[in-house]
Amino acid sequence: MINYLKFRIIKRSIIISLAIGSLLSAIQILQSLIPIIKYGNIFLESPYIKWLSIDPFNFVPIVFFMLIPLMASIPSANILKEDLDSGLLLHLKNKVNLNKIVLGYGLTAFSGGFLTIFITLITNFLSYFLFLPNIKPDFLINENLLIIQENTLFVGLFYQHPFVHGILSILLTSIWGGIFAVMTCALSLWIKEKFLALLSSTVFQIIILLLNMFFKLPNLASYVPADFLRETSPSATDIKIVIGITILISVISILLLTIGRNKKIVW
Amino acid sequence: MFGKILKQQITLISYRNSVILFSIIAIIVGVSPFQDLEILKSSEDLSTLLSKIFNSFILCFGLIFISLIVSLNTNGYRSNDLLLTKTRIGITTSIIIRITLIQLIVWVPWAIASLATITLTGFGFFIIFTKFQILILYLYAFFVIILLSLIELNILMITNSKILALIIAMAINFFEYYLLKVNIDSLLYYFTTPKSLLGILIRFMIILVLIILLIFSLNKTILKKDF
Repeated sequence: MINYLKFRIIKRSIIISLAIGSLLSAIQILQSLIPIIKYGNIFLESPYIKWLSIDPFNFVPIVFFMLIPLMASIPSANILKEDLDSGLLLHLKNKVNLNKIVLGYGLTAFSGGFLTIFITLITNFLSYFLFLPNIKPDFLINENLLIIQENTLFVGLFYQHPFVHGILSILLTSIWGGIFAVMTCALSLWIKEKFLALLSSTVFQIIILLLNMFFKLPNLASYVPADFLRETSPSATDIKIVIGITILISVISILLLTIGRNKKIVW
Repeated sequence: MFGKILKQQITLISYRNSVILFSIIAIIVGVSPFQDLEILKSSEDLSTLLSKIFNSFILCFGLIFISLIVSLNTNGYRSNDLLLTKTRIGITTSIIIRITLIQLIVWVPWAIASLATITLTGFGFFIIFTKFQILILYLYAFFVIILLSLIELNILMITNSKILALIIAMAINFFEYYLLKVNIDSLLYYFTTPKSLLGILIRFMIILVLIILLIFSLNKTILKKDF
């Protein structure tokens, strides 16, 4: 099964989604480095406060975190839908157990989404160490960035071990990329149009973004993934809401996949 | 031929249930400034009012993003139509009719919902009788959407890849939004922060000329395309 799925993934689609991510991160690096090259590093800037996920003075992070579902689901999320339409799945069903097939497709979707987001973010984070000195962020020097408890998860860890905090933030974001990819894989069983099925999780995030304006949680904590996945989010965050939304969305997508297996594949 | 194509496109669109979802999202985008307008009731400053009605962030990621997805969602023509009509202009007209119809389904709910929220919060008299130029801005938004979806379809006809067409059209959209944020006059988002009525009219003419040029180039690519 694993060997088959390795052959099945289209290599060109991986390149497309990696190209979007690396282009966005390259634009962000260029834009934030130009003033430092011009005037020198007067304000003691370090990689920890300049990289893609924490930069508040730039437009690119908004676009990047809104497009995470699209980038995660391009590589391997819609191959289940394509195989179901072409009838290749019926051929596979004779040789391998159906539970194994659905699990394999789900895991490939997850790993494809996880890896694309992980590679783009970690290249952006590590390439900043080539240009800027490794200075620990300080609460008084970097006061203008407003990295406080209300908008950052585990803010104590950020000032103590900024590298560990950055790596944990990257891991959370890439796990969410995997969840979005599984969600696309599950929703694609229920949607007729192939192109809309690929974009279903992106549309889902837009719907959550619009709902966040009407139904506000206590302390105005945001439940949009594009907001709380950033290391320092533009709105308020809460650790309980982050964990709750993560579990809720992953359970919903797994349920949709299992119900879709019973209703749409076996009938 | 025009009437027959119109009838065909209406029947094709009526079988697509996903359009209903997108029109509901457009209604939510239109209703979204409700809470901000409640606060603004006392003041009558036009620029702050406009920035609340046409919130550029929600328009960029809500309305225009949705309309870009809708215009690529279905194929506008069947290959049998080539043999039946024996002309390739028929395909161009069917694509243009489909775009205008399907964007009207997104745009009309948005405009109605947005105007309804304005009247509910008590600005209706103020806008319709004293500052009726605002109604032009709604039309401006419609032509912006048509322009972006025509660019998208031109790229689709050249490259045959829907993902690439969506990405390039989105990149143009985000670049214009970036220009708005750094206070440079952008073409597509001028209606969110208009400075003069003459500026709106000039940009309106530019957009209309661009739409006509894009229709000609679409026709040229379809004439030379290998179906």
